[in-house]
Amino acid sequence: MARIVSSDETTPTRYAWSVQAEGLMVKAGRHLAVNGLDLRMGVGVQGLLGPNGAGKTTLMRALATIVPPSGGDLILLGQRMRAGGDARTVRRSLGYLPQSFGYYPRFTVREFVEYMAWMKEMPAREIPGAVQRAIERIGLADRAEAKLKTLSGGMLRRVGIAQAVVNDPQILLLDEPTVGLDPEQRVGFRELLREMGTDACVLVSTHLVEDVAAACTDVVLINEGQLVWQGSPQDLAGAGGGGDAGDSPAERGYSALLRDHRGRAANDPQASGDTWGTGRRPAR
Amino acid sequence: MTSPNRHPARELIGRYVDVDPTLDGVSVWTLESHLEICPACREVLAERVYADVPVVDRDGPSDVALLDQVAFALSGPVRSGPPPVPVSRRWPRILRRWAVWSFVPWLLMTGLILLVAAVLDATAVKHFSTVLLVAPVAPLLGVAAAWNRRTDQAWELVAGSPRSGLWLLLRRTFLILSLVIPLAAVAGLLGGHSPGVWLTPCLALTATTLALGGRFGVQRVAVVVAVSWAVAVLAPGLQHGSVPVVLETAEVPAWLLLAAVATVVLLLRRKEFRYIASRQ
Repeated sequence: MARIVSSDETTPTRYAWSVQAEGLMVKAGRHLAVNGLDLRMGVGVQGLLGPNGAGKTTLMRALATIVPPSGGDLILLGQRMRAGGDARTVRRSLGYLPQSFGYYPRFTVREFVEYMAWMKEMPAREIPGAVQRAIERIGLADRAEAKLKTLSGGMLRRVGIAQAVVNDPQILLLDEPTVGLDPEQRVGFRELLREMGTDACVLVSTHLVEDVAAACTDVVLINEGQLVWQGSPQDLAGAGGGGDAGDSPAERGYSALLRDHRGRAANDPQASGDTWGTGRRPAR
Repeated sequence: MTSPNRHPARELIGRYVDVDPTLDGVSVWTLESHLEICPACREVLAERVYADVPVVDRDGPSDVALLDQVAFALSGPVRSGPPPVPVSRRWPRILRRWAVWSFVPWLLMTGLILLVAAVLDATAVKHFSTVLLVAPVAPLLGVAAAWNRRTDQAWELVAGSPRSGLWLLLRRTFLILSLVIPLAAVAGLLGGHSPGVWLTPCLALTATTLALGGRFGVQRVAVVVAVSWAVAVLAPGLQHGSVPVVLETAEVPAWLLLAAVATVVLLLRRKEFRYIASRQ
């Protein structure tokens, strides 16, 4: 069934970047997990890479408007996010899959996706169609009436993806979406990513460098809450040399960039997180 | 030309059909927007398009035959495929949207406490009611479970959605109150106590919990309020075996005042509920 395109969708945007962060600081508990991050992202699929504890999940939560920024600027879809501010209009255009995807075990797949569509304030008459489309997109149409507690881990992950894309978000945040997916599903998932990335800003946090190399148009590398590098997957692959750790060009590039960043941070604490020289990073 | 009364020249339509490279974009655009609203010119267009096609192929029957073919091809799989599954509506939609499943065990616990209190009232010979002492804080268990990240499994999804905030919390609280208050009323009436005595403290304490909950966390405030009630009212009441002063009919206006103040504070501080993450 065709969807009616509303006038909101066809009006040109009045902002340059879907996500724009300048000197962003976000706390995870008392710890400052994102510390002075500068980032600009537009339409496309961006892969978010970084070691454990780099602040990926905290950054995701800040972008999902779950945690307000405690310093710096965060502008989503042209609207500035503040503690106590009203994030409602931005939230309607957000899709978010948390790292630990919590769900109500007694809901069926359809009921859960429908509940989330309602929570995202979709117009009531659009909900049934949008729910069906989302469930078909992630290939769970045959299990739509199954309760969530009967599903496997990979299927739950896919339900999480379905609820994230149900409102056709303009910013789609997926925190480790490929965990628990089998190789075939991962290929299908990359297809979905490319499709979503044609008119939305998609940010995929992952540990699997291969996923990034295969499906992303852009790579964001962060460490200790700061931007280390931003560039294309080809540049990432080109950054590594023969001597770097890793089994593929992208992995070698990843370890080379991180090593280099750590080396510079150790030499000059002030310079940590500063430009890599690609010119892609905004000036402070 | 886009007006339905002024029609483009047949020659222009002919050039359009032949994809004339000298035809400029403006003319094409005007022509197309006219064609959209003018059946007469579409007729001319169709004549030009089908000018080279033999009359036999141009007629309707081929379309009908094609449709028959498609219908025949589809009807087989449709008939042999699985029948449509009726969508199960095990829970009314409103319940799914207003409730949060995490508070079910807490509500059961509340019911149990009220039952025990009612049994105590029925068996022990006293001049006061245990139900009366418990009922004002009975909804707090459910309220505490309705708004915090430990008991709401999907809190992260809820927190990031536009409908999150005070109104969602109020929906959940309303559902809790609409279940607990009748329960407590029945338990009280069994012992011969009218709900009028405990209903105002019950509403006032719930409103106070919500009003302070945005600042300090709903669960934390609920615990503090319930424990304070137990220490200040419940324990002395059980010890002395008399109806505490705060539950006398004369105190009802004071409780109403507290409820009103708490409601105003709650509405003024509704911003604090936009993020579930902090202090919960």
